[in-house]
Amino acid sequence: MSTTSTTEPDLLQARDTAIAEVGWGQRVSWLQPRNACLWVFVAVIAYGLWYTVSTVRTEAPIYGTPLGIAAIIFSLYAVLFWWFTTHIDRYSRQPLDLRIAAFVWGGFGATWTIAIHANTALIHLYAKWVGPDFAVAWGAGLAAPFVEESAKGAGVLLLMFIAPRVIRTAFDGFVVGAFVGLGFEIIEDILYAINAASENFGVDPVGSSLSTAVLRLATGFTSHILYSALVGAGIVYLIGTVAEKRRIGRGLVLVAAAVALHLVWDSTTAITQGNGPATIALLVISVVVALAIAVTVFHLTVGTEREAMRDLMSPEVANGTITVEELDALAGSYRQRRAYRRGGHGDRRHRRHRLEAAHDLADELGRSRGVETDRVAYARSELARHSPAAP
Amino acid sequence: MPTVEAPPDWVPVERRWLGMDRRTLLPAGVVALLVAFAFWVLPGVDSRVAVDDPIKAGDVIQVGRWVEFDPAVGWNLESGLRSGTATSGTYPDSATLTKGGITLTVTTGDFDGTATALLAQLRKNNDKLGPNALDLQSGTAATFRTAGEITGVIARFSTTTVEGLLGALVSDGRGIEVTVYGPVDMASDRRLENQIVAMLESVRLVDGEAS
Repeated sequence: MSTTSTTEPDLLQARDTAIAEVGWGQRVSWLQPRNACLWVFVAVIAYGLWYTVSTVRTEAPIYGTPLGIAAIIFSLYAVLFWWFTTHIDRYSRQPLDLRIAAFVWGGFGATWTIAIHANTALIHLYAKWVGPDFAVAWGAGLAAPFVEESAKGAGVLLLMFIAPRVIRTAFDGFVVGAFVGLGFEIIEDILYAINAASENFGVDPVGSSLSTAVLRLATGFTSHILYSALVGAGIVYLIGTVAEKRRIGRGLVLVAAAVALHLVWDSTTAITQGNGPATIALLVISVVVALAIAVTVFHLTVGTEREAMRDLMSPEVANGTITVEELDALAGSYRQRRAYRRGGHGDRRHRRHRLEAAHDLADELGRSRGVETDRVAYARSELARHSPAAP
Repeated sequence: MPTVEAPPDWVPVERRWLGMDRRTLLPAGVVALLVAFAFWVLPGVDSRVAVDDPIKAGDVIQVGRWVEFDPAVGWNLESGLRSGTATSGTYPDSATLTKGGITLTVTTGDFDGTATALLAQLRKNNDKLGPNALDLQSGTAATFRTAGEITGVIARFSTTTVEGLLGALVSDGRGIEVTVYGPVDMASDRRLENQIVAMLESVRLVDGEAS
């Protein structure tokens, strides 16, 4: 993209529009007594936390060791996926408090206040109305995808109205949904590990928990995190925002895709009628298809953010702070960033710093809403410090 | 007149209803309905629909991959599967039957040891429940042998409101726990007691699994 044929006022106008539309650098206010969504959000999480404390107080005397081990293992797992999800959110990044709120909703609200009650009741009702064999085979697959995706999606919906200046694009929904799913995944995994502790009469609670933990660790990356990311993007399309036109069809397809992937994952043995090799094949196919869909949706949604980054930083090309090549890397894909970093002929570290400093400048410009502040000036000076001409 | 920018999250008076931001009412209401449906409606419907799955003559209950028993006719199958009905090929590790306020549960799992050792493990698990632990009477464990030649031990337990039996059986590395509990006078119904004994004695390994 050339920036030389556009005047500086036009570029600055485009920057202001981009900042306003995608809510770049905006913060979340948690003091909104007139916001009904915030009240529901807090109430649901408060009950979930109370339920968690009650459960831990009951389980800890019996299965304290496996509970502790599972909590440590899955906390490390959470850190890994927290880093990954933060890493892909490289344009108008979600504020830390919003990411934590999404995680807490997924971990404590969606799980304990909504999903556990509805899942249990639905599976029982399938057994009573259709038959116990049907409930054993299909109960989880026909309960969890609908209940859990609704429960997690509800969190994204509430956060859209709690932080309407922050969650503006489908990509924001994708990222916030991923954090909701991460919270759900971690707490559900710990619950599964604790439940496993009582298997085989509780003779080896730690061994039983670890077996379950390993299985969940191996399969977790394509389950709740991925499904919720799709649902999150879908909800933003269904509602529509200043930056993202309402696309009901696209939103419904994304939500349906998440439910369908979840349904197949939870019904593999029922679909294959217990055939071992067929079950493994279906699980592998499910993982591949889920990852392909997630990558497709990532590329589908990230465009708005990349355009905003280009509009935000184009004036910096005009004033000589960054180069066109750097702008293309900043607003580009992973491949473009890699190409930029490798283009320095042995100066990769230096180029990586330039790119990171340019990101800092974008964040500061967003936060100041395009106004020249001391922090913006300092971020620009950091870029100068890392310029090729710097001593 | 200079324009003053509205502070973030300021809600104009014309956009309020009972003091709340009208824009937030619909999504908050939708989620509140979802929570109410999941938290109250579905569990409420579930609790009002009774399980109606009476055992018929010839029914066999399979528990896990290895264990089966003959349930008494007329008892209600609350959870678990009849042999040959698992669509997914997987049988739950537990089955529960009820009748006349009495609940009988059979649970299976791997266990290396004797029936006495399994009963000791079950007592140990019970003791961890602290104030919720059952009063498993010591010194009353009796040995029995099922029709399938599995050796088991059984102990009585009681609380102020219920009494029951805790049975432990082991064969070929498969442990089987049988729990029966009901009202304090449950032993007075000889017919039900005979049915419980018959179910206990029918516990066996699935064909091909026995040594």
